[in-house]
Amino acid sequence: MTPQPFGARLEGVTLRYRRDDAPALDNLDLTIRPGVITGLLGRNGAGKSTLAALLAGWRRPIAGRVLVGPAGALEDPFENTWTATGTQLVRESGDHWEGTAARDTLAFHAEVRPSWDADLAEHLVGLFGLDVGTHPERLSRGQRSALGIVVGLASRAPLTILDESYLGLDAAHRYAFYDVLLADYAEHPRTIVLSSHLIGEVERLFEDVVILDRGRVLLAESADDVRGRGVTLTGPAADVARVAGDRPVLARQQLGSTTQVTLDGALSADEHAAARAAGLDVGGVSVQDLFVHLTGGAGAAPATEEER
Amino acid sequence: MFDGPEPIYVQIAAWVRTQILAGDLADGDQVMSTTQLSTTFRLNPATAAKAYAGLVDEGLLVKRRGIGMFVADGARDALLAEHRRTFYTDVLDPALDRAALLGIPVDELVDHIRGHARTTPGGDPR
Amino acid sequence: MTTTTPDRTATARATFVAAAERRATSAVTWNLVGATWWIGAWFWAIYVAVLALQAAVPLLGGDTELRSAAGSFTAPWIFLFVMGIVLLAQMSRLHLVAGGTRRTLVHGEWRAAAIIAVTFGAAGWLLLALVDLVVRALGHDVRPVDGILVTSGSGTWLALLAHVLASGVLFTTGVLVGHVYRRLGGWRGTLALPLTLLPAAVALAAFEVAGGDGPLVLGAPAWLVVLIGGAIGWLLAAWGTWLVVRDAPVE
Repeated sequence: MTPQPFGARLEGVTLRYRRDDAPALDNLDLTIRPGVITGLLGRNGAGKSTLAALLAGWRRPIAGRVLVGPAGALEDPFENTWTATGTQLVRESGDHWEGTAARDTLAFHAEVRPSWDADLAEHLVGLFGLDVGTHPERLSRGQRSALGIVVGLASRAPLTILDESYLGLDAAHRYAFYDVLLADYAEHPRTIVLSSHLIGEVERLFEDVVILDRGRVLLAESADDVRGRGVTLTGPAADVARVAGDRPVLARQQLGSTTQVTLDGALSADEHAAARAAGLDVGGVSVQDLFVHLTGGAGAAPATEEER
Repeated sequence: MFDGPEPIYVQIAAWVRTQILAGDLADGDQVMSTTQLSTTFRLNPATAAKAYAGLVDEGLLVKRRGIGMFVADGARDALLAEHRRTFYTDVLDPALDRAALLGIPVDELVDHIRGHARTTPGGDPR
Repeated sequence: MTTTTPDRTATARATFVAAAERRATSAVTWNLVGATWWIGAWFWAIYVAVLALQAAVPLLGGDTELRSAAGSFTAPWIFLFVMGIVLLAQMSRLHLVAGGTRRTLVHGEWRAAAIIAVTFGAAGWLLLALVDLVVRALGHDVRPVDGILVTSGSGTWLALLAHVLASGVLFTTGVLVGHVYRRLGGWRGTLALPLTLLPAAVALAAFEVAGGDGPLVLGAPAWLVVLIGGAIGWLLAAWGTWLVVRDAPVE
């Protein structure tokens, strides 16, 4: 049977690694839509990897519920053959079979995964120039990442989670990965969760975006909505200031007499007309910029996000 | 491609409209599939589909089940008519407002238009 | 799935899950057996060479009495103990990454232990029997060192039983020790050794009793002592493995 894409829901999920630690995930509620490519973003320690481990049934929360499965039939993924068979998590570390040739790692996956596509695996091995005769621990970081990508895509799992797993690839191979991911996703629709620090590079791949911060969901919505959350105005400083009024400024850039400000929130029709009458360029905000702002990155204007 | 500030699906739709308007896509021509769009420009297939859905709603594209997406009959004429309708309000009026702001006399503008038309293929020199 | 009736969906799912569990279990089983024998081939080559040397040196020195391979008959067991630790450290995470569960991992280990016990136990026993045969053919005597483990006379089948059980117990104990180290870390894993080595200790103590000169427990025959001691040790190790693995997180 052709596996249906898996969705996921987390309800009030809390997880601590040690009793006295701050929670890695703190009373988290989140829905991941089936069949969609979701970008999972957050700074280091925000809880991305913990969330991924919960979805894959690698861990159990200390409170709350984790549910995974095809639409309308979500289940607890812990020790659940049905969901485990349909979930593939690849971490940056790779989790390969060490001490034996890389091809043995692929062979093991092929034995266990019902949806494994050996032809795709072979194609990807060639694409990344992967030497499958070498032990994974002796491969370069890039090659280990590539081995993880082969596993992640060839498993064709209804829920595929790639947790920073392509960071080790060089730029050329990363773009090759994006291309093959999109092509295979189009042919075999499934749920894909991508977490990455290279937001600018991958944000156009996302249909949905989830931003985590200190174990909580800061934002979970469609990528288009994220881009519509802010607006950039570019033009002469005085005109920009007049149109911007006293709206919260997310970022400001000055280039000679030209100013570019990124404002929180969309413009009203009147404001839009005023901006165009003043000859200002009006644009959206990139996911990257919004992410940096929301998570309190360097250079961000005073946060006004506390009310959210 | 599609690196502009508007939502990506809006940019894709604008790009297809421009192609139709320029005659690069004639009535009845097949356009790229959403998968082709997605892989060619490295963007989410749903984004491409959203752009096409808008164009179908506008009547510029038609979907033929199992075959693909095609430029609708009369799409170029419809676009031309629409652009003519909004040309003054959307394009010329803001430019004239700007000219007034800069203190450019109307005669100078008229001269410029005549001169520009003379150097533009298909322009009317009168 | 959504278009089928609930009944058929449940059946299809049960079939799918059963097949997936079979696949996952057998992947663990045969990869463990394969890796153990793959590395085991090296082990046997060295072991045979050592045995030959042990036999040859005293013979050349003019000894007429041989201690057989008494000094090294436990070597395959130690080898299996180490393999249990090493292989599971490598395979546990891979198995869960590939979509297996803790249950299929442990079931695969149990089956692998049984197959390895029979094949390794028989091979170890056969080799010792062969050495004895050669030594006797050359006109020398073989002095029994540990009653149950000589391969001649009435002890032959008992020795085979002991070899098979010891192989299974030692491999499974290695698996248990490996899992406990993974779960608890280096310090606490080491502190837990008295407990995690218990299954092997129980079995080996029973073999000692059965092979010794002292009175047997409640007058039970030696083979029964070996069987019960080995079985208890094996079950302890297998059960302990499940206790440690069943809710272990993937680090």
